[in-house]
Amino acid sequence: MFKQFISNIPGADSYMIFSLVTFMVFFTAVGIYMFWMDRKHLDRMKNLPFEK
Amino acid sequence: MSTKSTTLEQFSYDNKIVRNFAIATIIWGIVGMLVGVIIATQLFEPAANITQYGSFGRIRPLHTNAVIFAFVGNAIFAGVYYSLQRLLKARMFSDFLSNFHFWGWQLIIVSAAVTLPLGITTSHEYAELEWPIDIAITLIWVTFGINMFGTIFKRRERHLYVAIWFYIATFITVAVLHLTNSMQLPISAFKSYYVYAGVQDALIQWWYGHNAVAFFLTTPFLGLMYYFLPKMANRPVYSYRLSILHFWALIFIYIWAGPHHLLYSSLPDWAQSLGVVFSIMLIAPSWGGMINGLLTLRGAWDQVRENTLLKFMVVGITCYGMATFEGPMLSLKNINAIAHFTDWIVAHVHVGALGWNGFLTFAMLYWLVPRIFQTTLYSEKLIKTHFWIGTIGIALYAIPMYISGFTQGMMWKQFTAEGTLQYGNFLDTTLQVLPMHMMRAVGGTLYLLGAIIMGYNLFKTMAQGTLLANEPAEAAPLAVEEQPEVGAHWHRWIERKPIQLLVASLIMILVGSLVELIPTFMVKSNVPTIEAVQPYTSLELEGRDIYIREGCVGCHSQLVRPFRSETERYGEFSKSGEFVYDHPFLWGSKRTGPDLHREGGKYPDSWHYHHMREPQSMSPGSIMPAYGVLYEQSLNTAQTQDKLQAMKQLGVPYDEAQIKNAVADLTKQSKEIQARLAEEKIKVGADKEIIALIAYLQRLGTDIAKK
Repeated sequence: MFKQFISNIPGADSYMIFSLVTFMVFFTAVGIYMFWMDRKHLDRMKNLPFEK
Repeated sequence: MSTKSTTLEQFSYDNKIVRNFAIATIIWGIVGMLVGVIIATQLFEPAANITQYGSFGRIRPLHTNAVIFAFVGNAIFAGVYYSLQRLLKARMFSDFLSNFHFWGWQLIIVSAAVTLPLGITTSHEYAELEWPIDIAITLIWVTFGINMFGTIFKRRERHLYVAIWFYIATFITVAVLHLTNSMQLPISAFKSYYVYAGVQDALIQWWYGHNAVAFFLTTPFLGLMYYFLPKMANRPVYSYRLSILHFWALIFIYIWAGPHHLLYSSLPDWAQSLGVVFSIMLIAPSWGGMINGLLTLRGAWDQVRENTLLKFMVVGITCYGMATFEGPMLSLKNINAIAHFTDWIVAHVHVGALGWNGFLTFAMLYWLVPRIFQTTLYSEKLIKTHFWIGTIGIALYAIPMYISGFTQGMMWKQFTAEGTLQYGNFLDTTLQVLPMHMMRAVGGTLYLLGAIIMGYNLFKTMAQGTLLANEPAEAAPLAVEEQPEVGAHWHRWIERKPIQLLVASLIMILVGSLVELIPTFMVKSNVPTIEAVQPYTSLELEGRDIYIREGCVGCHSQLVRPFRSETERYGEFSKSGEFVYDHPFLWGSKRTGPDLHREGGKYPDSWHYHHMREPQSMSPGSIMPAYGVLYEQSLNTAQTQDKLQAMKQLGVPYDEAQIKNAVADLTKQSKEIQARLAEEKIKVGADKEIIALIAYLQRLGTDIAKK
């Protein structure tokens, strides 16, 4: 079924590849910096709504 | 390292502005939903179209504007003004700006409530308000921005919590969308033409329309979810990391997806394809938000059993998940081919609006009103009643609309064994779904009833408490000079710098926008011209303006898609070159009635004459309202010349003689139509509005047939 979806989109190859690359680059970049984030800092940030 | 001095500063939070926006949310919510129930009733009972000011075409935009900008808009401001002050440990920047924002926004809503029933509309969906109101919206939005950033700059908390990122992205994106989609050339105080035409206008409108959903109905509410859900559940958000990931991903990807509203249209294929693939990607960041919301309640589901506010949140977030899964599915071309123009889209939108926006708003109001009024809720029992009535209301609304949508989509495409359309008469497909429309009205009424119960409960709560207008607070000020944090993660640079955050968000949304918009405007081959396509005559242009005024676009599309089921029913499929003089485009988004792009010449003038006066006389059982006033009102030609002149300025090739003789030409063509009608024993003044409308309808889609 998915093959049919994809084959029905004109110019699918180039747009799929372009989108996939954009998607991968973007998520990898954001993923990397998330991975590096300091846990202590994250705990402080997520508790901000509870500070008096 | 510490960036704070040791002395605490005394200050207070402004709760009065929160109360004002909360009251406005309740009142406008009930008004907007009431108009929704009225238009739902009109869709099975045409007698409910009372006077020209209350006809479906005119008050359908009143409903959408009221619930989006008045109900949801005021809810956003109530929530932002409450949470922003507390997250930043600072009072709003300026009480004057807060009040100016509040009263300005209410004035805009009142202007909408007056002008839309009067037929003063631009016809762009969710952007119907005319240019003076657009300017007022800009002014008030900037006021909101200054007030928000002023508060951010004087904050006592260095780091910006993720909710504030969503508020900042909302502010900047809505500003860009509103400005771009409001480019109009004014003719008078109440009339303007969009500078864009046809395909380009359609792309701009749906880039705006789709992202209005994204950045007015989604991002601010995600921000509110990230503040109010942890407060209600008394536990921090499940994953702060995930909130960051889905924030950037959401604002980056959402902006590309607008063209999925224009699949199989005359929009260039490459733009449609981009819209589809980015729409599918949207599942990831959307569900990131939903998962983060629901998992915040992990280990606390026992609370959900007891706490009705959390029940509202769970249903709301689940509806968000359902709508954001369905959205990408609907953008697949195969599914869109069936779903587009049907009630399926209405169901999809309302799962999001009633569930996500409505329920989150209700929970937020129930949570903050007793707090700022230093009391408890008047009645817990009434909240429970509201929850169940509201939930049943959503189900009773959505399920019939899904059934109706599938039915319409299938019936429109059904062929007989002989190869002819099974339901050649469009009306058969409308009559088939009327029972579903009735059930939808019941669902909507229940939902409205729930909102009224909430209004009663909250006003009683306010009455039994006392507003803590200035809530005392204390916090240490930020040190003027910030020491660099050794070994700190680079992202903290952005978390502490609102302007960087604003600029980064702006860049994110501009990437997708520019990639899609610029080629459509700059590359000529994207909109191939057709030599036979000529500008409208002055009478047809006036007729088109009546079509716009009456909101015909709310029920009739003007876009024949390249399917056999459509070319068989309507005629040749629509080409992009046919719309080059259409300021604005009128493709529509829903077919309650048939498509009209090939309407010209299909019926004699007399058919239209009788049909507009009493639709049921020509189409027995039709739910179209009667337009008797068009037979009484004379066409106002005072601005006809100005309209042609304006069109010329926008690139429509009218020559000087056409502009100079605009009214004379109009009168001549009117008399020709009058004479044709007289041959069929119909007596009507040549100056009546119906003549102009007939001229326009008879012109529709006929240019390409000319040799």
